[in-house]
Amino acid sequence: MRLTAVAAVAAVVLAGLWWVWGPEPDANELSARFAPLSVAHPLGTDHLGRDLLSRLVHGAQLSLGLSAVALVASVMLGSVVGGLASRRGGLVATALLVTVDTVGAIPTVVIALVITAAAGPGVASLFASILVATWAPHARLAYQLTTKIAAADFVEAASAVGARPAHVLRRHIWPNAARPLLAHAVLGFPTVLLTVAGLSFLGLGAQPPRAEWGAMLSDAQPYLERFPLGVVAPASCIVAAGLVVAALGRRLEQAVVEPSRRRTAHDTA
Amino acid sequence: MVLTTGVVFALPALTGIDPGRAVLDARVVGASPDPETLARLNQELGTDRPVARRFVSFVADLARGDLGRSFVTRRPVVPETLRAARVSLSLMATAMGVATAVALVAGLVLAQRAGSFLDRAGQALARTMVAVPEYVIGPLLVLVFGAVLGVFPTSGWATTRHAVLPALTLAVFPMAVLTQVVRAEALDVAGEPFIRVARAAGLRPARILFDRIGRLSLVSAVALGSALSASMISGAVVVEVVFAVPGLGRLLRDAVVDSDLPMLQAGLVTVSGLAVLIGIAADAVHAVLDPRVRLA
Repeated sequence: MRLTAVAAVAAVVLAGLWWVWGPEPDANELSARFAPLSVAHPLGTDHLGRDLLSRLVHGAQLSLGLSAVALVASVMLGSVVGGLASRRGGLVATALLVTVDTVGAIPTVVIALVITAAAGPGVASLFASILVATWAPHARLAYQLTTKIAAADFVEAASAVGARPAHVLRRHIWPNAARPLLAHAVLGFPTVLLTVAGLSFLGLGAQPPRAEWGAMLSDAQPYLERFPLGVVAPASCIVAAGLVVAALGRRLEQAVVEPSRRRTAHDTA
Repeated sequence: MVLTTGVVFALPALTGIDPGRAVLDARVVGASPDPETLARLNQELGTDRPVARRFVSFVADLARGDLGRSFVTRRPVVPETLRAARVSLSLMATAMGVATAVALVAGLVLAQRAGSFLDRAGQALARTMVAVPEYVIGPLLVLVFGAVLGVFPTSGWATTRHAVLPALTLAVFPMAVLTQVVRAEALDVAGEPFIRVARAAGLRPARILFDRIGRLSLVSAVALGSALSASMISGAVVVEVVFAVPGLGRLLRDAVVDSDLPMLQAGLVTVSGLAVLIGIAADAVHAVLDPRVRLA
């Protein structure tokens, strides 16, 4: 774990240095197509003579950045829907929960195809697709958490002494639900990252010449034999980033969810 | 029970049609850049009529199996979609079969040697492979088996040899998931009283392993099948694009890229139908394998 952390930090620092001092990601020299590895181009150049390392580093901005933003939006949407369903109950809850189950059963690529067909390919469609495809599990968790916490004695006590529903939600329910939701969100990050890259790979996300790991992978595929690194490098970035964040998420889950489980077990004993 | 399963599994199909209609509305009402397309759409789809009437005639067309002609090829879309669906289905079935067979054996072996080095290595591998997407495995397999070794063809869909790399690529994710499930389930089942009874009755260990434990582990794997089918469909789209397989996924992707609406509609309806069918099939196999479900 420590080794992973050190490697991840080192990669980020090196990437930052190259981001500042490396060549532009879109600067192409057709005379220098498929240039071999050198000091000027540590990973060589692609089929348009663009510096591969620069494109990887700038691609991270979209691959990781968009994934993070989409994840936050998706958790927020899920929390609001799940919390609302739990607090309102009745028909509203049923309708929202059926929606959650239905949306959760549609393949991500199908959602993305429909949204892209309606709104055209691009980063906005990509963001919308990720949001629609990933909010459902967060909503389900938020619903379960809210329902569980609302049944606790301290919430009943607060309501009994006359606290308004908004106050109960803000002061009692939200602080207890936030940490499990956060851990769940971090565990969801690799999925979002793979989806962003996957949709871009299919041509449904980032459009050329924009650098994005999935799109780079797809661009480099025709030149696989001539320049295998063009495929291998973005592929490694995608997998490595996914694994590092997954390890981080498991750590966080252990730290956040397990103690609270222990506490409830203790309470009921 | 059959009814509830039917309704639950029909839900994605119903919503599958709805977004399809949303696409139409967005295209026709919004500023479409191509007046010719606009006129043809209005005439062909009758979008000047009220929503309810349009929906009724859409369903009627659907029941007759007529969803119009492709904007690109000008051929009727339904036969083409069905042909593509057959390709996708055989690809997914092959991948699922390979994944289940390998996962069953691997999961049982790992469970037998629980805690050993082999077990830990196998589990680590399975956890890692879950995080490796099809669009990474595919090109790497092309590189190794196609470009370097030259053993298998890397694009197209003509002979059995063409199916090897796509099916393998698609099989990795369910294989990794199912291996973990089978391993956990086998460890669970091995502690149950009826296994101790079987052992006491003198059944050979291998028989117990494959007949009793294996069967129950397979049950949990199949129960996951319908949940896996959504990710399998997404995976199939990627695999078909990577290996140029003329299946449903590639058809859908091309339809979006070309703004080929009738093709997209037919494809979406077929994909939703396919998801429902896979769910029902998984339930049926589940009932055959697990006597407890059959009784219910």
